[in-house]
Amino acid sequence: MVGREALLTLADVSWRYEGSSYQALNHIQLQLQPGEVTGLVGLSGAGKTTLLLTMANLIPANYGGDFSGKRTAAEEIGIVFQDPETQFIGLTVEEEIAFSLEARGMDDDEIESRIEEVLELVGLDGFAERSPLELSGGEKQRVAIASALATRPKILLLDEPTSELDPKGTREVFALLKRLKQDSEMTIVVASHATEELAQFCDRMLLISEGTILYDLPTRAFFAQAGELSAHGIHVPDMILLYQWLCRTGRIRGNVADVPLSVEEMEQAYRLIALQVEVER
Amino acid sequence: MSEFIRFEDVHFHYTEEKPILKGIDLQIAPGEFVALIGGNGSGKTTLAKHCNGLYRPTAGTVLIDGIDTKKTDVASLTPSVAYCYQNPDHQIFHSTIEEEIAFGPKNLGLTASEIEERVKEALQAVDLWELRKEEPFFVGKGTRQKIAVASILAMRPKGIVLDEPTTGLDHRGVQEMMRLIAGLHGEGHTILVVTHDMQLVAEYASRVIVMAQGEIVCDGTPQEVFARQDLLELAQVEAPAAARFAASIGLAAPFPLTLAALKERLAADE
Repeated sequence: MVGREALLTLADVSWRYEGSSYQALNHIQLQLQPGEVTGLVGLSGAGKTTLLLTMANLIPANYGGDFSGKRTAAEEIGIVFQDPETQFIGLTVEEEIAFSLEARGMDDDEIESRIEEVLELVGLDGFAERSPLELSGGEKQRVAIASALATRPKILLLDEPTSELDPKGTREVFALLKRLKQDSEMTIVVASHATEELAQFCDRMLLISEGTILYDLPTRAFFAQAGELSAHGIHVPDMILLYQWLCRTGRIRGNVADVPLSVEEMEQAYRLIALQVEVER
Repeated sequence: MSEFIRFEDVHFHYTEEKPILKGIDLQIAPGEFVALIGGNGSGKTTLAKHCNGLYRPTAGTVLIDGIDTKKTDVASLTPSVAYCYQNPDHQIFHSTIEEEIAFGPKNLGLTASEIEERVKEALQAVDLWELRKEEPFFVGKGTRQKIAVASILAMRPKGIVLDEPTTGLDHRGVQEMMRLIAGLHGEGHTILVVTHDMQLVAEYASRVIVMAQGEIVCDGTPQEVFARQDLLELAQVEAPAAARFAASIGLAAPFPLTLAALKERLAADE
């Protein structure tokens, strides 16, 4: 996996927070390729947030501790946190988005055009004058994403962006991420417990446990390791477990590694096999 | 009396132009496990907060264990029904876990030895006895959520209302919290859970109340509710994957709602 054109590389990166005896990241080897969408899973406390902060260079820049290894990234990076309210400082959506641009010394016209651009991108046209605090959960998180996008990053990092949202808000955020993936070929890393959504959206999946990356695989191959993932406390979507059960009990003759990543894929697999059985009869 | 919680034509609003509950009629029997679902702004948290007098109806009557919530206060209702907040940090404010748990029983005016007994019982129920001297803010969210539940158990309420008890937890945390709640139900507590997690509804609830725009739009078993696509859209939720798959391959209703039920159904249909 030599990625000459990797957007971001972590080479043997380890990190320990100041005052902690615990190694938060252990010898991380990771490269992000342009346009790649990566899902990051792991139990709470496994190191997901720490890894994202390190990718964004907030670790070690803004935190005390022991850093070793090498981080290389040429590109602008945007980061979105779990609870958007904790990062809101503007009284209006517009001010909120303008903040990071003003900090970069951008002129007013450019700021205005970027605000318009990102609000359209996240589907919140007409929200510029609204207070971010009176929006729904999904809208708030889309404002946070818009703020991160305003600096035109090549990489967007999201830390559990839907964990405080209701199902509608969760669908809104993932629909937006899918649009960013398709339309702007954004490189995205999303840490989340929502494995059903990740399975349908990511190209690649990482499992982190106690600061170590245990699995780094294309999404289908990753979820094919259902037993291992369950053992690490990761929720494996029901359709994957159903498919593997059907294979193992001889009810269908599929490849056990060829797991469905959505209800629709499971339906197709099931219908195909039902058809084969009919033909053989 | 066969009902434990009774709502009679309950209305609630802050301002008349914006009614939040619009004529709720509801009875919950002792020992039921009820899930309350609905989109943001549907009124479900407002309804839940009427179940122990945190909110009182603008019009209509709420009876908890036969007591009219308008004629008493939250403290007097707590032995009947206690409310567990969505964000545990809204109710946690002591410097050790055991002090946190002792707060409720102290307010009930119990003796020191009674308080001690209740703290121990509550912390053992949520498996946090060993951590009793720790600071509540330095433990993980799943543990803080359990502290919030334990602080309620220490008041030995017959009914427990839990608002989004699994939000923000990882899968292991969700499983532990649900086992805990199922255990409390098994011991005879009446449970009302406000939740967005349909998997949880499918696995644990025997009754589902769907709210939209301040009204109850459906009140039935999980099978009944998850078979109604129109209601699910109104409540802005999706049926569990097992039910969606069952529908997609044309299995007859009632749909299996969990993976285990789906496997059983496919095996039985062979």
